[in-house]
Amino acid sequence: MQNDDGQITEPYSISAGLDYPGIGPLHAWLNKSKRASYEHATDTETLEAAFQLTRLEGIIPALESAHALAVLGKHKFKKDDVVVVTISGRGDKDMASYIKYMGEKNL
Amino acid sequence: MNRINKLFQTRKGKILSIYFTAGYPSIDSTVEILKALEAAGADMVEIGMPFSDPVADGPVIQNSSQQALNNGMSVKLLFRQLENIREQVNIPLLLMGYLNPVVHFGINEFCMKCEEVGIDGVILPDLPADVFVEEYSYDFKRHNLHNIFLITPRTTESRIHEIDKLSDGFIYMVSSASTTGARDSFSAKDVEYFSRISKMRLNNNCLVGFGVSNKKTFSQVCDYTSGAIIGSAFVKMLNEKGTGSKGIKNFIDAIRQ
Repeated sequence: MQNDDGQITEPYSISAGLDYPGIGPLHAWLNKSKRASYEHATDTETLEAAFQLTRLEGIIPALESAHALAVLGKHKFKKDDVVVVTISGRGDKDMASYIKYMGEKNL
Repeated sequence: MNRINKLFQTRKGKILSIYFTAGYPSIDSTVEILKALEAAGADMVEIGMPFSDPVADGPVIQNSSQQALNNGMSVKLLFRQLENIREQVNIPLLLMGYLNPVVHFGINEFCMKCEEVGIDGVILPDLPADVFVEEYSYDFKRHNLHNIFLITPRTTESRIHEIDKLSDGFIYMVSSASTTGARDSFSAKDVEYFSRISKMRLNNNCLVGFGVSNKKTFSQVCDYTSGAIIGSAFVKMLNEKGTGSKGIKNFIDAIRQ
């Protein structure tokens, strides 16, 4: 991530692993070469998806992976589609963010 | 002929090159500092292009870079400031900075602009030699621009020879495996490194940078190499005493006397 002068700019993400400007070049290349497609999720969508997985499966995902869970609902899958989501990390490290969200939502 | 080559042809040894960050301490100080440096007897100047993530720099140049960016310095603005510099300054001028702003500006456009305003060389510590050869050397060459390569105490002998083959102008000898920053003196181990490189009898002249700050460190490196580059100590002086030509003259005299 950079400005018009090529200076590195501060990114923002609720997840520490995505809050890093150097994360970009590899993904930018995969996107440009059309080997991968990219979608986004808001903080709220991400947190909701994380709580949903926790409730349904008893798995607390890391906030990075929760972004992937959050876009699942935006797709219309056929019954026999195979969907793989990488839960790349565990949510223990994100407890502070989860507890804050629970406080805000009275969960 | 490129002004850097001319300098090394006419002056053998004790070459003093000064680095400062463009846009520091104030946005409009670039030309004023360049003129004062030439008048004070500096042989060459490296104009720093400030970057948000200056990984090779210590605190003094880091701070000056951040301040310069806060002041509004950019590659584009720097070229605008340097538009008529060759009517006022004759010594070799180099741009030093990091790769990303240059790539973002466009390599060919950057080299073209350098030639237009009269820049003789570029130093980009985070540009790997093989990438330069494969992707950028063509544009540099056709705009009569030297890319200055860096070596450190950890660079292997075979790589130093390789870099010597690729180099034109001079080789930038980083004094230690560290970031930029003034030191009071060099250790016996540092001197051993200067001596080791000197005995390699490279085709290119070597200038030592990183850590050179005063008369003592300058003469220590001049025993083995063609001269030195002083950055942090000069930037610190600008911060303390301002950009007046008298302060700049005193700084250069103190190193040369």
